Amino acid sequence: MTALIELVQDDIKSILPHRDPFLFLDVVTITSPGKDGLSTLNMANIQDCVLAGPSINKEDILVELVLEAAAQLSGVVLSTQPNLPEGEDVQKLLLGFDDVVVTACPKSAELITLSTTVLSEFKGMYQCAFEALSPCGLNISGKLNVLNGVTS
Amino acid sequence: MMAYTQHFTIAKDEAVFSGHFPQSPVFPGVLLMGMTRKVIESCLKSPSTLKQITRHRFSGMVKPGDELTIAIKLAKDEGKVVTITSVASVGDKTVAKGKFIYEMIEAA
Repeated sequence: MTALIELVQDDIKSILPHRDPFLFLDVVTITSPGKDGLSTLNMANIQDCVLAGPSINKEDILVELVLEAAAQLSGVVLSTQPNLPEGEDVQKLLLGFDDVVVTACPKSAELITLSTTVLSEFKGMYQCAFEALSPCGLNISGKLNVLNGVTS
Repeated sequence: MMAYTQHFTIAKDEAVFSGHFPQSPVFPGVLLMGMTRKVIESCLKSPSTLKQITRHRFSGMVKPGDELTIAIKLAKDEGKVVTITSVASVGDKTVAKGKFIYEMIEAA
């Protein structure tokens, strides 16, 4: 049985370029290195001021904030893959989302359990499945695509 | 709503840039999605709920000060369910596109 790896925010900051107020994860648990991970998203911790931008506020984009947290979790899980390329020419980009199904919208102060699984890899492009669940019935699931490699 | 276009200016001092990313600010793709959804929902005539987002792709970056255009189009109207496609662009470059599926809420 594989031991769980727990990454705290300093570890996460060494992996992701995101910083406050747009780093949403405090702790990530790697349940299978390079493949599966879990985290908890506290929607109450996401500041309104992050979203002071063009006519949007936190309440308008709660679904998208969950998607961002899922992408951050996937980035952390991918970083635990063996033999990842390293160096300045390695790019880490969120490429898109597929088949996102929203069965209930999140609330602004919910605790949400996030999980992700790496499904496939092709030339540094990874597809991950994710799920976001809350006791209040939130359920968002889907797939996200990220680049973690060197583009030709 | 058959088609609608809205223009935005991404402020250079947007608060989000301090965290995304401090060394190289980029407007987050998920906020583009959120802005697109808000444009769509301002155009829908009936109360509706988001059911799916699919084939959403990011193909370019939005930087501080960019002029962003979000264009949406009704792609399919099946009565209770509508599909709206979106294209976000900066100048001539498409930076994101996707498909949003909504279900109309029936009056009680």
